[in-house]
Amino acid sequence: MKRIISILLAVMLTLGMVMSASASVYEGGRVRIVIGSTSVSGDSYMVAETVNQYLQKYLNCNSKVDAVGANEALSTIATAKNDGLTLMIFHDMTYLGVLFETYDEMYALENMVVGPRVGQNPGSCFAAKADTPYADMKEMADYLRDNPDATARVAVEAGGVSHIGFVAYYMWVKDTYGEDVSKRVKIVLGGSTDEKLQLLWDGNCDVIFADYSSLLQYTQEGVDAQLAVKFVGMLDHIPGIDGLPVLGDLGVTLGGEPFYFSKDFLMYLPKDTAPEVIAELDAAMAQVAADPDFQAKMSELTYAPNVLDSAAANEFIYGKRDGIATLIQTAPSFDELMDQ
Amino acid sequence: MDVLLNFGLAVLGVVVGIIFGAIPGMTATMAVAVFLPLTYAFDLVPALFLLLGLYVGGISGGLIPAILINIPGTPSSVCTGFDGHPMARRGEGERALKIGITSSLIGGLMSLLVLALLTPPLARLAIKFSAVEKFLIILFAMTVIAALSKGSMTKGVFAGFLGVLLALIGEFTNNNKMRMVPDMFKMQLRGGFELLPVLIGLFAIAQMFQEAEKGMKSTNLNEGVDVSNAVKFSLKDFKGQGVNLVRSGLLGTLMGILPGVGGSAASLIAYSQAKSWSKHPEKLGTGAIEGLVASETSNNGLTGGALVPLLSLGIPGDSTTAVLIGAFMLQGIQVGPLFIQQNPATWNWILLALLLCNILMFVLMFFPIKHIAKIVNIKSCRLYPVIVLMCIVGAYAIRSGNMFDVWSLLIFGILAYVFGKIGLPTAPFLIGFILGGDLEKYFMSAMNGNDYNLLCFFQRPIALVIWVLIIGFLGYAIWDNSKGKRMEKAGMKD
Amino acid sequence: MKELFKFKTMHLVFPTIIGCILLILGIALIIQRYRLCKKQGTPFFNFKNFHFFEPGYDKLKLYGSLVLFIGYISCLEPMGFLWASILFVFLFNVLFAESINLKVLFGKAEGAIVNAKSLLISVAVAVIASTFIWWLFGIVFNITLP
Repeated sequence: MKRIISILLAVMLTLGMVMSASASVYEGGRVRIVIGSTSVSGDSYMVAETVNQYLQKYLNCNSKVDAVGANEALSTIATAKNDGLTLMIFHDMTYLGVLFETYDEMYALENMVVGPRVGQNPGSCFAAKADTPYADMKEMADYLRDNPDATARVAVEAGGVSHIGFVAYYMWVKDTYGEDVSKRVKIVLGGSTDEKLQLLWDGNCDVIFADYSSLLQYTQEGVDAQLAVKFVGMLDHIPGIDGLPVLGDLGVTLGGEPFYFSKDFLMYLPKDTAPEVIAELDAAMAQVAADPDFQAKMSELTYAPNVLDSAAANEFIYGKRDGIATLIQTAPSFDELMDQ
Repeated sequence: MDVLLNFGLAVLGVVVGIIFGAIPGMTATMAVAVFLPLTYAFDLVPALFLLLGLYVGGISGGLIPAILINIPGTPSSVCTGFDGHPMARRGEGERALKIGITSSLIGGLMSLLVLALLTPPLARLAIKFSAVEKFLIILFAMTVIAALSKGSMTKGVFAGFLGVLLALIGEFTNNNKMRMVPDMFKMQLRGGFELLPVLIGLFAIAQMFQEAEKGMKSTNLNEGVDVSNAVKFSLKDFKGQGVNLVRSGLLGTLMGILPGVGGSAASLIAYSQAKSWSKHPEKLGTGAIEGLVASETSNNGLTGGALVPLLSLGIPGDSTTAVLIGAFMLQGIQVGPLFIQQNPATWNWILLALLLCNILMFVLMFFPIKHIAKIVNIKSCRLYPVIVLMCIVGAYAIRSGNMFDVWSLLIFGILAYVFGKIGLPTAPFLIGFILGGDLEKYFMSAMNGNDYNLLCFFQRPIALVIWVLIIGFLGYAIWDNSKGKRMEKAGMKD
Repeated sequence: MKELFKFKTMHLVFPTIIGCILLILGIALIIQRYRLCKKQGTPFFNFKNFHFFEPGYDKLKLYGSLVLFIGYISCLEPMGFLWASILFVFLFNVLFAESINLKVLFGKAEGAIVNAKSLLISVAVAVIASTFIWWLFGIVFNITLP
């Protein structure tokens, strides 16, 4: 009798182990991570690839980052099987596209499942030529106030993170300094960082919006005067780097609160993905977040390894979206700003 | 040990690069992007040996299908087929390949020399080229259309601008608004048609339809050609090509140095210049060595050139070097104006790696090529199914998995087939398509930056020089065209 | 001038310019043809002598290749890259190399229906080429395939 029971127990144990192993979606699977950028040198790819390197270790799967671009990434998540083997890692453009009405409602957050946050890029910033007469964007507004003939031409892109950064600043200038100053903050439409730099060097704009790490070299000692650049307005604090002018610290406010904006990189999965799948991703991301190598690597890239589990990430991203939605509704559109 | 690792990675990179370049629809850019995550495991130097190998191999491999089956493996080898394929058809495939490979080596080495010696001053020159100059350079590259469509210039130019128009389909990124897109395709066509599927659709798929119409009976060799009597390659083939080599190599390098002008423009400009300076321009396009040399020297000349702005300004010179930035960033190294100064050892490794990869490319292609050249003997009925297979992989993979790009193959395959029937030339259409996007980008950007004043295109000194080149070249092409017509009328057709 | 470049309509500026150029070139083409026709005394619309297809063209292979190509693309996602490729590369081979003579099959010509040797080659090409490409790019290079 004892033998039978022990055999039964052994069988059950083995079965249980097999069951629990097969309950893992990711164990040994092929996972496709799409990102909303086609560039493999931008922050989207860098964050996704760094996360991927550690994630595949903890999920024990064969995962791969595909730089498919925003369209394809959104439609992939809208149409892919909800087995968890296809997921997207993307920043705030996920919901900004819908807010700016570039994409249909079917690509809204409500039609996907929000997974954990995998990291942040606090490095979005405004930069100007090194020899401009102002050191930061508050001084820029002061300078415009004191010199009624001066203008500041800012190179930004419509419908992206730079759009948010620009209108937040513009609204603040308008409220604080009046329309007389704010209407002399002009928009120059620019594309990639390279194109904006070229605009700056050609003297076709005064301030550009870019990413901290992509401009860092141009701010250092020894760069030709023609190329030299300085940071005039960070959108957020970068951990471990002090002494940079941050808009929120300079007094720029949004809705009465100091304005800080980091790009938040979250995992997004197809609608109706099972909670177990998300739980597995949460667990793995918790391990990734605790890995000192991961933290070091992210810091080296000037990104913040601030991981949130899916529950917190959900609340966070919906809250952030609603705040931005209000800003977009109250701020003038680019139509009005460009043609004023 | 490290030396061995670096060498091994360079060999691997060059071989894989050649494979990517040689497969229609796969490019050097893709090869580098595919291997980028792998470099995570390496230090920067071995990673660079691998990636530069892929770059050099990928740019060079494109000449193989261009010459043998008239399907350019990469956009930068479009002009290679113009003269390379006619040579292959008359049984001189091996000779054409060897001329192409040798030209590639010379172009690569010339650009390496420029990179090693002249990087800082050239970088300063590069940023003097604003959107105005870039717009004019793209326009200059478009003049190759005039050179290509002798005898039916209006048709050629029409096809070229049709290509430009189709390149504009999709979203204009400055205001995120779409044009020429039916509502039902607004997701698929937001980014427009991708170049690679268009390229292989126009060449490979259209050719398949044409062959199918004729019954798929032939091979890629002219009937009745005895290969054993064909002219063999010898270094004498390069006699009289000295000026052409230097001009094409430098043009390629210069196009590489200018950020955002891109690889395809390099071989287009070099080809049209080779034609206009040639003693017998009418022979270009019928299997003349000059055309082949110009195209291949210039597209490899690009490699070193494109690294100039990358390593001295932090701005990539072409799409492949844009991917290379990713490799530096993954290693936590910033590329910018101080890169060479702050990383002298890495800089020397880059030069060494580039030299090694060029030599490896030559050795690994030159000697085995005679076996590959036998592809022309394979029957079309067996070859085309495999070409279709490879095209589909390439089209799907170019944007890391996009089914719409595979359908683009079919759309442009049918389009080029119909073009052939109504007498519109495909090559000018493709050139228009390749350059169309940039033409608009720099035009709009120049207008934006100069207060919407059209005069901005005539006020800068470099711009005026490019105008002189454009007008001079167009004038020559028109004169040459009408001369050709007169000769035809007089019955002196050569 | 600046009016043209308003934010709302700037995406239409360049396409309009190109459209106008195309229109002018199109008119020039028509005039050229008109002059040529007048000189040679041929009608402007010459449908009678215009043949879209080559004389005696291979209808079966032309339309067959079109159908197979569409079929191949449609089957890529449902069947998966490897199986779809093996099937359609095989079918392309059969069609182009006439491993199975469809004309004979439908009683339009006399002769053997199946060319065994050719059929065998078709199978071999399909299996080897598809598997190799799938292995090399899908597995070794880890490229995403349908």
